[in-house]
Amino acid sequence: MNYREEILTVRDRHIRLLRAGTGQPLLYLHDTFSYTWTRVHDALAAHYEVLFPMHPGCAGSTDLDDIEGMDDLVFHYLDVWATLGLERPILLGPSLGGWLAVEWAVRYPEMLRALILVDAFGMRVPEAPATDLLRLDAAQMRPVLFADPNAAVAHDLIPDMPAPESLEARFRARQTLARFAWQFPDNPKLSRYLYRVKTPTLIIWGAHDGVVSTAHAQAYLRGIVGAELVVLPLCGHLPLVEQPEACVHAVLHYLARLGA
Amino acid sequence: MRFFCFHLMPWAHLPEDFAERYDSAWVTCPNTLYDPQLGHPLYNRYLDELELADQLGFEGICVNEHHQNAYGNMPSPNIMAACLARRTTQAKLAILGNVLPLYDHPQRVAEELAMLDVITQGRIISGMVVGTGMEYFSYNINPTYARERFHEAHDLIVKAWTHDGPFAWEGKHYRFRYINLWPKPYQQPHPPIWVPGSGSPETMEWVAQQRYTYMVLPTLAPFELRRQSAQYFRECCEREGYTARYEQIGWGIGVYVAETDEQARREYEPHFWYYARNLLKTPAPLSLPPGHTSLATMLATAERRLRSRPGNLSTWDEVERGGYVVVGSPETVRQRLEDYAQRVGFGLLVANFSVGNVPTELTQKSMTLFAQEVMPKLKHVNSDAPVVVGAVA
Repeated sequence: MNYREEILTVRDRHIRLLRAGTGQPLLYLHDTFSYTWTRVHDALAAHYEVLFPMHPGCAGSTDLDDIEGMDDLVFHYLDVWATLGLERPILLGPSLGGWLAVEWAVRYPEMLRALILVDAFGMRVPEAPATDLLRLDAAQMRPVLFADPNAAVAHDLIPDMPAPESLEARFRARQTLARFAWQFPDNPKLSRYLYRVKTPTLIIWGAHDGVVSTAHAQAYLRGIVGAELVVLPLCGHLPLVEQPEACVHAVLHYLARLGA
Repeated sequence: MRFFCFHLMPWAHLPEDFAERYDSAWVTCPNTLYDPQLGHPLYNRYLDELELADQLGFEGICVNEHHQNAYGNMPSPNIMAACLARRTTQAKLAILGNVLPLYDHPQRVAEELAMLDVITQGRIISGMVVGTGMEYFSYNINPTYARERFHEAHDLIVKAWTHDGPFAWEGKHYRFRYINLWPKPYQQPHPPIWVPGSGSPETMEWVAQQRYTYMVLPTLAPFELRRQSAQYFRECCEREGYTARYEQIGWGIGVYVAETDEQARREYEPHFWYYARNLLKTPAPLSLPPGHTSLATMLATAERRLRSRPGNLSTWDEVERGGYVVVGSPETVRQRLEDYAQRVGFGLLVANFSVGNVPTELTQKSMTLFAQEVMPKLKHVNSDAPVVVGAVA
């Protein structure tokens, strides 16, 4: 885990940024369950310059305040990117981060080099509604998030009794999830505009995602022209946590083929 | 001391094995358990009890608001107040709350309360609450805006009551070109505002700033925890530069009076457990949605609530020692309440006589004993001096 940590000033916000590697920039848009640097980021940083900012509201960054919806969050990230002054990024986003990446891509597809969505929120699929995560306790949440709810990694991420020093970061992440994804983690209008995503897109999905099922992956696949889908067996909502090697392999393989 | 009779209007017909079979009395509690045939006599019996309180000389009667649950069957407290408005003559009607953040049109709350206030010639007390976490699930209101919506809705309602219309409202959560209240409230400048709460510091700080009445809710919590809430509220008032009046602190509490201590416990206890084990059954994620309280309060309560939740209560001895409710002969109840009043400094007693599935005969007996044998002896306790208008400090 060899990354640098800095505080980025983006207009009047302070954003905690983790970064490592050299090469084309890869912007990692985190989810609200796993928001630390892992060996996935290490593996990506061997090939790319990985930039991992904390969302407003999450640990180390300033509060959500006037960021009220996905449109505000996209504008925030346009400002983040302008502040960094780097060339076109590859966006990699799991869960909430994936939804954010799509909201960016439908607006400014020309800004992006590639889009990698991992079990992304965002689609409204009436026949396969997303689970209301915020009404679940830890024991109910693990089988929804993980293919193997008894694995150590599931208990590490979603423990029955969280360590007291982890509580604030957990509450902040939950608050961020609630702000954007309260009851319905989607934008009902998003599917109308998926045709605007001209960016090469890879969709990675856990076969056993209990939050947004593979029906949501199919909805993205139908909507984004030229997108490719990789479904990972024995994997739930968080492939980067539950199947990190397979994920990294899929990402690097796809980007290499793109010549990115 | 001023005396108010509070009602929750609980669903009294849950199956015996409810606690084993269902994980919540709220939000997801299947409404196949509700039977309108049984609901009809139940509502009317509860209303009879509140009307009895009027006849017994309670200063006021209280209704409140909860949604999609078995705990309290008053999704519209204003409808209950309307039922009572023309069947009572003396009692104030304390509507505790309306849950302001749930409503996209706060002027509807302002209108309904003004209607009731005019109909009753000024007998309305307006409770305003943030509401339980569960209501945010039931009404799909984003809890990360709970506090903002509460404050803005309050500001809008008070302005609608006190300012000539029409005027425009340009806020963050509410925006109206025309606010123009017909009717206006009978009481001037507006009905008294009480804010019931369960101990969030940010609520108490705001109530102290506004100089409203803070009511420590009769939610099951040990006496000491609730005393600390009242103490914190008093400190907030001092920080605002004034000393809280006794009647600025309301004390909600479950009360049951019978002929003897032994009889009181025998009659009350089974119904208490119906309440504690069934009606309060709430999964923590439902009661604590993110943003419903500040981060600091979330952190402080997370651990504290785990320790003191009524679900953890198992013996009557714990209930007695913790001071969760006040149950006994008239003399015992008088002593306990006088002791509490002196230790807490409250001047408004908001007593809940109808717990769980207690039969109406017992509720009515308890209310009558309380009104006749306890109230007269507590009247002198914690009475504020009359407010002198124009006095020089």
